[in-house]
Amino acid sequence: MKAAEEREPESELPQSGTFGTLTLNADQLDALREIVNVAMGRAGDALSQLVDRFIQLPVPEIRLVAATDLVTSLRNLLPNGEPVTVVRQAFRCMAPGECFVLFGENSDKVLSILTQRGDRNSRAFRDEMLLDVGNLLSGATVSGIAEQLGKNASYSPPTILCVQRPAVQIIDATKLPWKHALVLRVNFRIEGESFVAHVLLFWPDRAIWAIGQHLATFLEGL
Amino acid sequence: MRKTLTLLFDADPPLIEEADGGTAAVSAISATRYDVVFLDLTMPDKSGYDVLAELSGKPHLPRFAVMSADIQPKAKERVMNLGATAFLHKPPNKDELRTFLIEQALLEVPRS
Repeated sequence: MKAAEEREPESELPQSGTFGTLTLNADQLDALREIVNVAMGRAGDALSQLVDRFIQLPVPEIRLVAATDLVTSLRNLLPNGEPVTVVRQAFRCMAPGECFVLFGENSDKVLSILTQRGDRNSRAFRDEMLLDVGNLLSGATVSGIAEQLGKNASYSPPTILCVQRPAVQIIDATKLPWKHALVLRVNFRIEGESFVAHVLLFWPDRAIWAIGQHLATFLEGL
Repeated sequence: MRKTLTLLFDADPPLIEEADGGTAAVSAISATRYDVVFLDLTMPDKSGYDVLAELSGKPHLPRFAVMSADIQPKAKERVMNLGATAFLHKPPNKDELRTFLIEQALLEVPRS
């Protein structure tokens, strides 16, 4: 992977303008869901190789959420205010963005599945697994979108933002430099067990707007 | 998908029906004789695996071409064991679709 710092021309993107009413229509969301579906196919295969078990792929759900509504949205996704473990990764695809992968209350279960081959009491091993799965989900999502749009994506190394903290404490809309997020919910099943992960993609409005424009072309090809 | 199929058949497009989910697919396939069903594996109400398993052994089944983004070798193995004829990749690829339809004698080989 290339370093996220490597610059990519942004000439195709509008350099300014307000996108206050930024929305994606039902067709665009359908196209995005289809793109994410393909991306999750790759993530599932990579995850399958990581844990050496068959993965039943999720039916991904994706929405565009205004940053100011993000806390409410997270409360709905995690209704019991459950603590989350978050892996964060910066990327560059058309414009710089960040991807947060949230593992919910069953992240312990995920870890127990993932750490069967290693020392499950070792914090270093647990962190390595979290980073692997977080990297895999954010990489697959961003690269999947980038590839279908004919764009390049590059990444910075992932980091663990927090372990088992309430999600609403992590996301402070007033401090976010982005106005919107693409919120993706995926539910992977691993032979009888399942775990849910939420992927938050933060991108500048101009990049999301550009994605919306490309989706129309992608729909033509379906 | 509908558009791609219509383009492939050019002047003589087939009758295409869509089922909105696995349950609707099972009902439609049980009630009507189709030549081929393009079946998604990941559907919210019932998976493609479940559809194949539920219809297994029933008379007058269509050929099933599973369409999936799943690239795990075991996914293909599972659907083929459940009676699928082919495993096609998502997003739909016109050439892959054309090859499948020609193999199944549903589409004529284009004259060069």
